[in-house]
Amino acid sequence: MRIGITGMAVKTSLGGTLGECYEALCRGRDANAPLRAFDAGRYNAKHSYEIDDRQQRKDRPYRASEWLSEVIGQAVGESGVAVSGSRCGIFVGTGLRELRSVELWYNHRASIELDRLHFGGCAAARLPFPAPVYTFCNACSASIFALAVAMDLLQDGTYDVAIVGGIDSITESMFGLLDRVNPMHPQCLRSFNKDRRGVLMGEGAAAVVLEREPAARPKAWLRGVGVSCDAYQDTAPHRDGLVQAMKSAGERSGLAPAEIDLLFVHGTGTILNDQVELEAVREFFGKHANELLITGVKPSIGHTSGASGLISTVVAVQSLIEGSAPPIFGLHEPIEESEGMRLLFAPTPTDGVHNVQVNAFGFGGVNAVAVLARS
Amino acid sequence: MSEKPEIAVTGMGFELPGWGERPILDALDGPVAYGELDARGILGKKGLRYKDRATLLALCAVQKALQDRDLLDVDPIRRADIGVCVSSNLGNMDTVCTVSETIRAEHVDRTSPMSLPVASSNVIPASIAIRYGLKAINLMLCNGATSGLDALHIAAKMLRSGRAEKMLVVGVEPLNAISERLLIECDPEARSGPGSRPGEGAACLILEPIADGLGVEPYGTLGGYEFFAPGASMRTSSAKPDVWFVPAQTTARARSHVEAAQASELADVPVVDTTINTGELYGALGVFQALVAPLYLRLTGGRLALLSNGLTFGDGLSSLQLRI
Repeated sequence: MRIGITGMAVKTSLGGTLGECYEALCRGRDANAPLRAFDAGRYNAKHSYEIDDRQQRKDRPYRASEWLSEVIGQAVGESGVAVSGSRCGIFVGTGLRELRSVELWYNHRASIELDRLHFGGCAAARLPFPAPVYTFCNACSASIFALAVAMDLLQDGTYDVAIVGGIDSITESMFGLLDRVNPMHPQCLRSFNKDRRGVLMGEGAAAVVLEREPAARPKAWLRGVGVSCDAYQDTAPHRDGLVQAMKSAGERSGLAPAEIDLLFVHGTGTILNDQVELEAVREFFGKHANELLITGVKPSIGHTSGASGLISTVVAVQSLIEGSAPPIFGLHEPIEESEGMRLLFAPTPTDGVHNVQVNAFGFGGVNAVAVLARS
Repeated sequence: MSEKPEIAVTGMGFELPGWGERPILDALDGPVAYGELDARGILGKKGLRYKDRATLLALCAVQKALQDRDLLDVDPIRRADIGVCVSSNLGNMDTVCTVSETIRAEHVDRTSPMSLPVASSNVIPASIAIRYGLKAINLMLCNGATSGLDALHIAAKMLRSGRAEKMLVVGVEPLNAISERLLIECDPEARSGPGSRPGEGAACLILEPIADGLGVEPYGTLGGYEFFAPGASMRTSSAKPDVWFVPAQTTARARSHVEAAQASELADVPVVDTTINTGELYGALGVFQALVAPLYLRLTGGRLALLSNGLTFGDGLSSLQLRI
């Protein structure tokens, strides 16, 4: 049985639509800016990749929910799927849910309601009928975990249509603690560069509509999603776990490593993560690691936490449709682990690309890898 | 109408701080008096520093469930194909709030770097996986009032799709000044009655597909699951149960739903509202119900329980059948 992506949307610090984000990525732009969300005087890191939609810099609860509702509305609208006649489930992946709203409640006496902290209402708001919503808080790989569960429930016939969302806004607590543990105080995120200094957070949302055996030609096929858990350490990645998730994705896709033509990395830009990810890529792909194209979006939009995997997925599909994959922004002196690999310095034609892999790894050693195919 | 393979409950454990070794069915007899959490007494001294309360509660319940299934004192390699699905809504709220308060009042350098893992809501399932070497799918579900039963449903699906050989399903909510304030100040529905007092605890069930050589007598098997969004028609289509576990007394919405069902398709079905004695367990409730139900059925000679979560805190309703 085939699962097609029939609608998709993203919103990031680069723009409110997929078209804007994709074009900016291909033009080699980034959205790095001085920290506006919080009082920069309280932090050592003073830059981030925010969706700057606060009026007069005044923060408000539920910004993440607003964006999620927006991208789901766009994706459903684009798919044209007759959702009202279908069995439909909604799967949301998020690292930080509406924890920013909880911080605003605790520190600024903002009024919040418990049922609005887990996206149930806002995710279903753009649908003309009630649908179940499941919110997975699986750290930085959350939206690809949501994609895995959604795919399983389409394959076993529970649903005909699944809407998958990825969503995150920056919290003071996570931005602060990432700052606290990183003595290098990065001004920008530089995946795979020798001079990288660590991760900086971004804000973003993505949504895709998945259909079993869609009537019309889909934008791309979702071939399979693999997951694994390191069971190793709270915050550090582990090569074996990363490789295991890639193997699982390959098995579920029915594709050999050598059949993957383009890879969207997780690429957080920390010293250890980039190194371990490329070691895992080399182990899994073998000599094909030097043949496939490798790119990533985080240097342009920051680390959008649980949304990042699905944002990469949507950009990957757009790269197939538009015939060009965006480069890794700011790449000038790649790390030694990438020796011989085809990291993208410039927009690169995707004419020969059939299958794309998307990596997403998270705190707690939760790894998820999606494989997409040209339709 | 059960899906194949059937999913069995093969192990269970719970932690209600201060409850001690008493059987869980006693919690149906009168209000639970919460006491100290003795995590070190249950888990030993190692590896507990910097763990938040929700994680400690969950680990205690998991430890007992693994012991119950004879999976504790074995080579960890035997646990590698076990997955985890945790349900909790309030888990790390205290850490998130206090860290952000420290930054606002002083500076980020005044926070403890050891709080970093806890700022991520999946610290609970990750900690469980790391402690016991569980390498299959690892999920954190934060789905509001229906989250516990939703977690059981999702875990069953993950077994059927081959993501794990066994699944640990954990429902956990901590009680602290911040979770208590959230439950009371941020509840969109007016609540009354004994079930609205905030409670705390963790429940863990081990699920596995029924196959040859299960090697253990299951507590029960999971049946049909239904999810009703807020405002949807909530008439259940399932067979008439011997008992209905539902937080019947908590909100006007819950009361009127239970009354309507008892006047029609669920007439004469006895209702058990565990929240009256445990207090509000929110995201832990469904797993707690699924732990109590098979024991209750055995005691009362019943076969089929209907578990319902929700109709509180503005959320919809989930229902799950459990059979012995």
